[in-house]
Amino acid sequence: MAQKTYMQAINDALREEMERDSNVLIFGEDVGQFGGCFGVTKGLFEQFGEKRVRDTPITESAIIGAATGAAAAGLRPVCELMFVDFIGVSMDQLFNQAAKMHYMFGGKISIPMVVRAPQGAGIGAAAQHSQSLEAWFMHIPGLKVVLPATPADAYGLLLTAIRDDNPVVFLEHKLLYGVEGEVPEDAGPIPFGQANICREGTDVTIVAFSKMVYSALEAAETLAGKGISVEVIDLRTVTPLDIDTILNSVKKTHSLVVAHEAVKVAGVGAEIAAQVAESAIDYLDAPIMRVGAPFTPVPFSPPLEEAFTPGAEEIVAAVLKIRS
Amino acid sequence: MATDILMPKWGLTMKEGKISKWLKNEGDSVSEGEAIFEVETDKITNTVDATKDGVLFQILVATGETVAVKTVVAVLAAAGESPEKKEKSGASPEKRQSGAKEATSKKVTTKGFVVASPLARRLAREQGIDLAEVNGTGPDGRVTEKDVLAYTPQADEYASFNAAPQAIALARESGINLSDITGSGEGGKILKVDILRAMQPAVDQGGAKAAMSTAEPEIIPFSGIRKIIADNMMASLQNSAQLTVFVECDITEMTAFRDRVRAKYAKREDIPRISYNDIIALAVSRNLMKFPYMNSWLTEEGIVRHKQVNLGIAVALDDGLVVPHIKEAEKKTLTELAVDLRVVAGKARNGGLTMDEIQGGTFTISNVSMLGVDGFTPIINPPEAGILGVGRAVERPAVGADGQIVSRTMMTLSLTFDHRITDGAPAITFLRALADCLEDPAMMLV
Repeated sequence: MAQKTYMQAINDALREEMERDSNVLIFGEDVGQFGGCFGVTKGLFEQFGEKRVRDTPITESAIIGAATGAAAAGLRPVCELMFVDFIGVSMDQLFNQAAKMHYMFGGKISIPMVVRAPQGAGIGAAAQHSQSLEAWFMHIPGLKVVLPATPADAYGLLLTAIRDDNPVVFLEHKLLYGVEGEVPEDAGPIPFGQANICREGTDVTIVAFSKMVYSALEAAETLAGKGISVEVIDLRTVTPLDIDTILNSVKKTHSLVVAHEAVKVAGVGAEIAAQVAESAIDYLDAPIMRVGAPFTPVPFSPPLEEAFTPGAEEIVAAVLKIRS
Repeated sequence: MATDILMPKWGLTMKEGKISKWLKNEGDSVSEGEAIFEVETDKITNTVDATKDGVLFQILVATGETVAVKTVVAVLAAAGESPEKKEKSGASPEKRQSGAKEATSKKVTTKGFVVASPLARRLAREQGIDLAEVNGTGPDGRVTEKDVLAYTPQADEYASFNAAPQAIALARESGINLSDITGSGEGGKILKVDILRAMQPAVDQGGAKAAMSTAEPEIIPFSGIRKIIADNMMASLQNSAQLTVFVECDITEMTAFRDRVRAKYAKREDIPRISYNDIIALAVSRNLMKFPYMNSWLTEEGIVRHKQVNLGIAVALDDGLVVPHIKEAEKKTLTELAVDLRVVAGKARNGGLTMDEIQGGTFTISNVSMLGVDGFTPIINPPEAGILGVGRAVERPAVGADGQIVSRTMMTLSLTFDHRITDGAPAITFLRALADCLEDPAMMLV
């Protein structure tokens, strides 16, 4: 059992997959000699050389476009965007090409590519470098969307992402890079679509993913002190979505809070709330609550950014509103 | 083959009915045309007959419960047949109480939508609990799972006993504890007769109890047609401005007229023996066309002046009274009215009135002449504008044209009118015109 940071776990997964399969290669801005903007790809350039760890021009459309083409031709590219916020310029390559090809060619072609991108607020990087955009990707059929919360999940889910035969968007929270956690020596791929029940409880279900899992666990601890037993579910992937685990938990606790850092409007929480309402309304003893950011760009001012970013306090308030 | 027995729909406005009495028990044989149960609506109590021979296999709706029209209330099986038992339709506890219709509609209008969680709703639905009765303790008073689980309905202490439905209904109405009763039916089943015996211990148990110095009073259940009449009469007195005016009229001429008509049709079997009542009905129907404000209803829309006379006639029954009416009485001749009056009165006494014969009357006559009184203050049958009370015909001394005291046949008419619809002078004018017609029947031609 090794203690690793989230970033180290991702780096290990990349290295091991590149050692295992010579078709795996990396594209990105400063991912080579510099080791990546946040240092995730450190050491890979030295080990695998410039053909497999490629620094690209500052053009996200070229990164994703090249990766899509390489994947169509049989390679397994893992490309890194410096910030997920820049995905906008490569929208066509990702949404309209990579996500569609497997379907439009009747399954005769696969696009085994991974787009890694850090997202989330918390480092004072302002409105254009701090967003959480998972709901965008979740809305596109043909994309799998992964949001690991722990080093072990980051490792195991990235193995699965690289081995998947069609596009995976792998969203890393930039504040989690330094988080340490145990990664078993014999850890292997973690299947997509299997949520993790991180804490069992009986009174309310909190569904979260990525960094918000830590906030949910903190909220659960606070609420336990108030006599409210909280079950915390880490989705790990939002596409595929493990709705069964959510429904089973809701049938037990009869109330649901979905928490994410992205703005609340039209977020993943809205989709989950709708599915639960459709399938299990008769089990709900309270309104479904969503915890999310206000509908505004992420502020630059640190105090405002702090106020903008939802956390344990907001989750506790949401639970108390329906369970007091 | 098993046949479903439905709550009937009597008339267009009937939406639900209360089973006031099962006349047969489960397992009883019934033959076609035989009354099986009694239904009470807010207008009428009547029986429902079997549509074919068979065995009353299963009763689904217990005495005292109110269900929508067309609801299956029982299953009739062919002799020897045993079909699958059906699920009982669970009326809510609130509906099990008497006076269901008023109680229900009031509850809906006063309490309205109950804020409850979907889970609480489902639990309440499954357990037949009325959410309006549950105390909500969640945020903003929301009824939650906890509240439904904590709710204990007024325990139905009657349901668990081996007792006939009529016995349970009677015990419930009379507040008798079934655990005090020893059943005399098969397997100790408590029958209605056991309850009656318990209600009148002095009579049936003789001996020791009879020796008690105070005779126990009899308790009559305040339900059924008695309750309907009570509610209607109270509503009439409370919701209208009614008062009564009287006139004594000399009906000697009318008596002579009646005798001439009787003599003329003495041989006609299709024409009944004409009575005062028939002539008064004729006079009323003709005068109502001349005084339309007396042929009116006061409704929420306003004063409804009817263009036809649906003449109601109060018929006393053994256990109450009912007011069927004759439609378009203003178009009918004396002999036609006489026939129709006897038909509706017969139906009223023997059963068989339809809702349409009970709802929609525009004016009512209440004739108590046979009881030997004169004036009285009849109570208006809402929403009508008036009701005419007819007293006895009696020989009295009167002052003749030449100052001589002569014997004349006199009768007192009592007109109760709703002062909200019309005023004293017009109502009295109507009553006077009516009296003129009785004193001189030829006036009806004018």
